[in-house]
Amino acid sequence: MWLRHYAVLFLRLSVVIGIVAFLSMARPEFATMGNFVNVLRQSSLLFLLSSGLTVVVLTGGIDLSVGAVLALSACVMGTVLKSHGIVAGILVGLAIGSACGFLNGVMVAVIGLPSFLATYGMLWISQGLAFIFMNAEIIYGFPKAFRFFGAGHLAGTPVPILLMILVSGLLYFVLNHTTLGRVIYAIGANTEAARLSGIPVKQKLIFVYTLSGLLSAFAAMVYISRLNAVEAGIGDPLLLPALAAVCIGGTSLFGGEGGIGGTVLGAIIMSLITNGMNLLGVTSFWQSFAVGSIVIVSVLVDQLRAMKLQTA
Amino acid sequence: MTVALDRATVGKALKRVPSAAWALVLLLVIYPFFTDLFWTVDNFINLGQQTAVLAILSLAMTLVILSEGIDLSSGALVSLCGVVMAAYLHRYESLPVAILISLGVGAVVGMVNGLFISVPRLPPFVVTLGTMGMCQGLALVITNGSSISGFSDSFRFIASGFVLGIPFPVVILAFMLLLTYVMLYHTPFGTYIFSIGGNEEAVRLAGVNVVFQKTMIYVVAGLFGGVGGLIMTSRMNAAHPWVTMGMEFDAIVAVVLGGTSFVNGRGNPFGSIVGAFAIAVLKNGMGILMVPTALQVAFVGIFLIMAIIYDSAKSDDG
Repeated sequence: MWLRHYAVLFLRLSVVIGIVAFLSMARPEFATMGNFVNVLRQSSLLFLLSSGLTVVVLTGGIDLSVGAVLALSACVMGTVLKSHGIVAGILVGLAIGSACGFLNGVMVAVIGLPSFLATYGMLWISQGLAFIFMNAEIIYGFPKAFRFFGAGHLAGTPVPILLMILVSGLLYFVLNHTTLGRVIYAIGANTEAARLSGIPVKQKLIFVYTLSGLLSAFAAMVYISRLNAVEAGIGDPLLLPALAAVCIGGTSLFGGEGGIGGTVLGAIIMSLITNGMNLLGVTSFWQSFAVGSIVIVSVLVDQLRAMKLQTA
Repeated sequence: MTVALDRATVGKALKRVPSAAWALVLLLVIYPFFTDLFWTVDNFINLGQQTAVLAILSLAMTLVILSEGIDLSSGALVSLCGVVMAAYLHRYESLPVAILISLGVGAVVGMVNGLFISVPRLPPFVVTLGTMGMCQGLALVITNGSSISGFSDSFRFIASGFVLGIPFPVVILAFMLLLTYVMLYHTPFGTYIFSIGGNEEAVRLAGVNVVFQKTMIYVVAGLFGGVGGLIMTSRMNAAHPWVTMGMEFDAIVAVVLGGTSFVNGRGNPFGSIVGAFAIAVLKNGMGILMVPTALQVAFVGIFLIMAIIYDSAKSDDG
């Protein structure tokens, strides 16, 4: 089984190499160090948002509210930042994200709502709250120390990339080398069996969704730090790419399969595609179309592969 | 045969009333306390015209949800149908062809949804989320980000005309409701919708071509979306690529409020229409009271969650 896991990652890596090769030939300006770093930085931002989503998907659920929770956390964070300082801002923002995630978890685990419905409702609630909170204003100009997260450099590398390495490393460790990780995969593979073997499924699910909310808020922090501004609508275009990154990365939407490594590669592939489309002059309208079809195609490929393996 | 009117019977009957009806009654009664502008003939006519599209989408969503699916592309589809139709009407005159185009686009997108959901058995919310992005993108590409406007009087009749004193959109809605009712309760297709929602594997094993039936459900949903696109474009006398964004959310809430359950295969299209009106009335009243749109959206979200909790609680004892 682990061999198949690595095969999945290897396939993604080949896709990355393939895209890089193609774009370098099509547009020479792609193959510059500056552009590579740019792409990596973009993927880091996308990855941070997709990381929580990955863990939720591993349990067989989905979190459609990631973009909206990012927006809400970002708005609150940005506001509190300006009035009460960096530490307060970050803490409140992370708390808001976690709270939304916690509510998602309660709806799914305790009340028993289907995850896509519960998180869909949360999507609209958070988005609405973000709009109300901001009152159509934009907040910009954050203190320099805060901007370190999104725009700073450490040892020559942009901080977001380092954060991606840090978060993916942590999550990888938890998912693959702790009991909690085993439990998460077990819940995704067969929730009933997990419950019958004594795993406190409800508790773990609430934790997973809360984690997703927390990571969305963390992503919000890095995001607005880089943008140096925040407004209510920033989360809107982020859901599809985040979902695409998870799906491309090979994490199955049915749960129990996949991992954080896949999402890292998925995020890189998504950013390469966006970067490539920009370089090739594709308008943003077509890009919206493209991301939608990518999501469908990647889920399709994964499902076909799973079906083939089942009958084999 | 006499029916004892004791507490048990009445209690059971009351339980069958969808939360939408309670919500609607509540709203209709409460709003006049806040504003005089609510209970006027003009406002209600306006309400009828406005709600028709949402109600039609809710009917389509009822069918989809009954089959244990979901259609997140509903709103974007309405925009796309309107946009393609408007692009056609800009060059040519024929109204019947324009109507066919709107329906056709809806059917094609519905077929794409249906095929990807029933053949490789991809989760409906992913497929329709993807198609939502695709429809949105296509609509933006065709209009190049702006809108297409200016139509003939006969076209505008669709949304602003009256038939025997009733707004034409409401007439269309009544017709669609009748169609849905007959389809669900008096054709084999309707039975398939319910049974696929109940136990798809059993239906498959019984020899039914589930792929075909399931695809047809989404095609029908797409056709309904095409009708919605007609009314919407006519009402605004323009095709905007983004105006119906989010309408699928209202439709889903309407369906859940109307008593259609995600858990078991129970539901009814009339309840969904009541649900659609409940939401429309909620928003209409909030609009009159100058509540900001964002807060309205949040309220609808809270409505949804309360309705689902009520629904789960009901089916626990039922």
